[in-house]
Amino acid sequence: MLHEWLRYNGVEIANALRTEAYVASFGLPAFKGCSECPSVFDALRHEWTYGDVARDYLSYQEVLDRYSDYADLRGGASGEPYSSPQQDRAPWYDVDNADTWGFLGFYVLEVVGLDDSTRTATVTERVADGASVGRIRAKSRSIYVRGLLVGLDDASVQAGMSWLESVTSPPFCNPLPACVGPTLEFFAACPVTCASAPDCYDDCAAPYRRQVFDAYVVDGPRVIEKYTPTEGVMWEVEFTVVAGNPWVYGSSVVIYDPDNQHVGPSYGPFDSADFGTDFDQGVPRPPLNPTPTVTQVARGAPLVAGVPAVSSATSCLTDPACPPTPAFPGAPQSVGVGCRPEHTGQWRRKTFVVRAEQVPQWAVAVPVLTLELPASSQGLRDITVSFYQRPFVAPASQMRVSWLAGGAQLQLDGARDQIMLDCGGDVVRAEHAVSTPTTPGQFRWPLVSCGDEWMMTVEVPDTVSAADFDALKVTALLRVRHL
Amino acid sequence: MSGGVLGVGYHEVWIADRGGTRMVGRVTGVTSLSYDRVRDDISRALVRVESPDTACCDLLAETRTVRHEVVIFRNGERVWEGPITRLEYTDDMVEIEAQDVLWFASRAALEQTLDYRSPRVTSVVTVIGVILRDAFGPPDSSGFNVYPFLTPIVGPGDPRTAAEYLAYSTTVWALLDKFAVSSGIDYTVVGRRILWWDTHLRAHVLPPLNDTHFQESIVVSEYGSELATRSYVTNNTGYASVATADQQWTAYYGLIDNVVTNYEEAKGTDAPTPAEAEAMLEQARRDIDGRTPAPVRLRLPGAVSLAPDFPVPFAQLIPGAWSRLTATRTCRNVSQWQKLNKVSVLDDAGGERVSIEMTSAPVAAVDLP
Repeated sequence: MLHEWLRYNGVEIANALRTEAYVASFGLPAFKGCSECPSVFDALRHEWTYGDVARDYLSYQEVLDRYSDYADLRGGASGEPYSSPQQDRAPWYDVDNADTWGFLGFYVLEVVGLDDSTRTATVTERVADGASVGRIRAKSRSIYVRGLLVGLDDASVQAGMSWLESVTSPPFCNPLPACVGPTLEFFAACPVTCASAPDCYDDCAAPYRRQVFDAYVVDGPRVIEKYTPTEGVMWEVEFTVVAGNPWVYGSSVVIYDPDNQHVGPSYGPFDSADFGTDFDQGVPRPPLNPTPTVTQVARGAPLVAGVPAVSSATSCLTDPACPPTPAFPGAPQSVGVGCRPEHTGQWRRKTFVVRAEQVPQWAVAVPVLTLELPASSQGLRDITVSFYQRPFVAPASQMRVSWLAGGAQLQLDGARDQIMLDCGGDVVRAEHAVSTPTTPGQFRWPLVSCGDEWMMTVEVPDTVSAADFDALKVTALLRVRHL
Repeated sequence: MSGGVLGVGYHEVWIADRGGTRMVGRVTGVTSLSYDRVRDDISRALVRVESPDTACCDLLAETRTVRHEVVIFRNGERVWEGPITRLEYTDDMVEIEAQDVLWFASRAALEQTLDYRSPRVTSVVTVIGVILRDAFGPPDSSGFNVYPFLTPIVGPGDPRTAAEYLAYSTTVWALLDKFAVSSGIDYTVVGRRILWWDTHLRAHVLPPLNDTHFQESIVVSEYGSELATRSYVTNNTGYASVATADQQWTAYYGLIDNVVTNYEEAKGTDAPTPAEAEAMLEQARRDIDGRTPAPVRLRLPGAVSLAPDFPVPFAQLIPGAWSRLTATRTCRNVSQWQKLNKVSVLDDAGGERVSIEMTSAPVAAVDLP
């Protein structure tokens, strides 16, 4: 296989041509002229320009969705060589993190496991001559990857390591369809140059595209050596991918499709103006609120009107002539009301903005919250803290504090994974006081990421007076989990 | 469907006050967790917290046996709960053992005499309902919160009893278990729900299963020692009811007898009443059902781990469920109805492993109308 280019879960994680260009543009001599396959660039440019529509029949929007990482080809799309991570909007580029601007890419040195069959069988020697060969099966495919993270300095390479760790942890900011694992893509061999004849993609490049499905990084990335040449910094890292689906697939070939009888780039070329810089245009954006607003809503109500996606897979699977068998009675999910019923009416809400520049692009952040009531307070029940990611339709995560007494301070520390309650100087663990409203047995800390703007809301039952709600002091911090 | 893919469950363990409605606290730092669901027995859960921070383990220190319960959630759904029956503390580990809600029944005496002798012969499914309702209320002054979840499944051919059960002679669970052993009843517990039904009743049917759904080979066995072409059920007083297999089998194998003692019907030297004789004959027929021809069984070798794409969601893995199991990779290909006997879950640093045990289902199956 050609190890100069790898794409994982839709994100280009290695592109030797790109890294060489950046190294050269920053005057670092290490990689000049090492790439042996410049035609990868042409193949990718073609694919980006026309989309792989001839074989996958993607709509225009689907092309946009699939190639939302088009930044990996931006240099190619403009017809110019790669110039800099910042200018090309390289896959790891984060406008809010200058360290990513000096990271120059992951340069693969070795890939093991993509060229072999995974066939295996148990062989049992017979008492007499020979042996019995057991069932032959294809076991999982294990793929070892080793390469160099290259950057201008330690901070850049550290940022690159965070990025590599994040994008190899699907579905990090790149949601996968239900029950579908990530895909590892590569070229089997160097494609024939297509620059002078773009339409030859089907013949010259497509035959070399390969995909491995259900591919998960199960070990690493791990730093095995750090180098400090005269200029720049390089870390040698390794990781292992295990593909549950053992086979290596090539591009699909059209047999017949009544809606797409063409073969070739009928969908393109797209005008470069079609690819705006903001895919979120048209998504309502709440105003920035330096001070939280107070509203009355249903708990967990959308911050912005919208319809959360609802899967209709179950109804699609039901043959109306063969209605499904009624479910056998299982474990009761509601075993009765605890010591008191939950509030079911309207809720008072305060909304806090988490600005995009505060949210890491290639890492996750966890909240550290402090909720405090003055001693004069009668206490608050059912305080609900919710985090919303754009487009703010449904809460990504919720936490419910069942009871906070007057004079008490509750610290919810996602970084230390602990919840502490300070009752007038007596500090105790208080995990029992916090749960998830809808699924009490599934408490998880909110993970804020993807460089998006987020919103945090704090809600209490509307039976609480506005003055009592205002007495609740909320302090909110974010702690970034880099690795 | 609910439950998610097997092998990727996310568990949480909570301590609840008796009754399971009021949560006392979430157990943090769990290093291993196991629980099971079983047919015809009380299931258990074991939770280990190794190297707990002794300065911050108030919840574990204040937890008490019997008064407190363990509630286990899997992917946000309650999957197992029951009273804590053992707490063990060492300087580097806390271990919590709990049993399902039938444990309460195992410590509840049978407080009234139940006389179903002729002419009061009654369905065993009904009798179990009587004794469990007596044990769990209402009024449920003990706060066990099991009464709302008693779930009998009544079938068209439920076994009947013509026996008398004396007050204070046993516990409620021991009598329930006796019905399972000798009267053809299945029972199980899922969460707080207690279910019971006729062992021949195909009340819960899972999709067909085959070799590809398990991570180990299916075993096909034929058991000649269990063969019988004639079955006697005796009350040990010189009387018996007898059932004989079809003539084709007596011709093929000869007369191979099996003698079963019906201890419940033993009453000194009395001859059985017509009703008691009929009950014994019914038992003999049930006995012969599974013994001719020589039983061929598909067997899973112990607890077998399930493939992650096992076609049944966790919520529906309920002991006593039936499924048509087919072995295609063995020399003798066999397809047979099997019953889910046990579901075991282990979750630790190695991830979640779900395994099941299955046993042959009765030949004579009864379907719900």
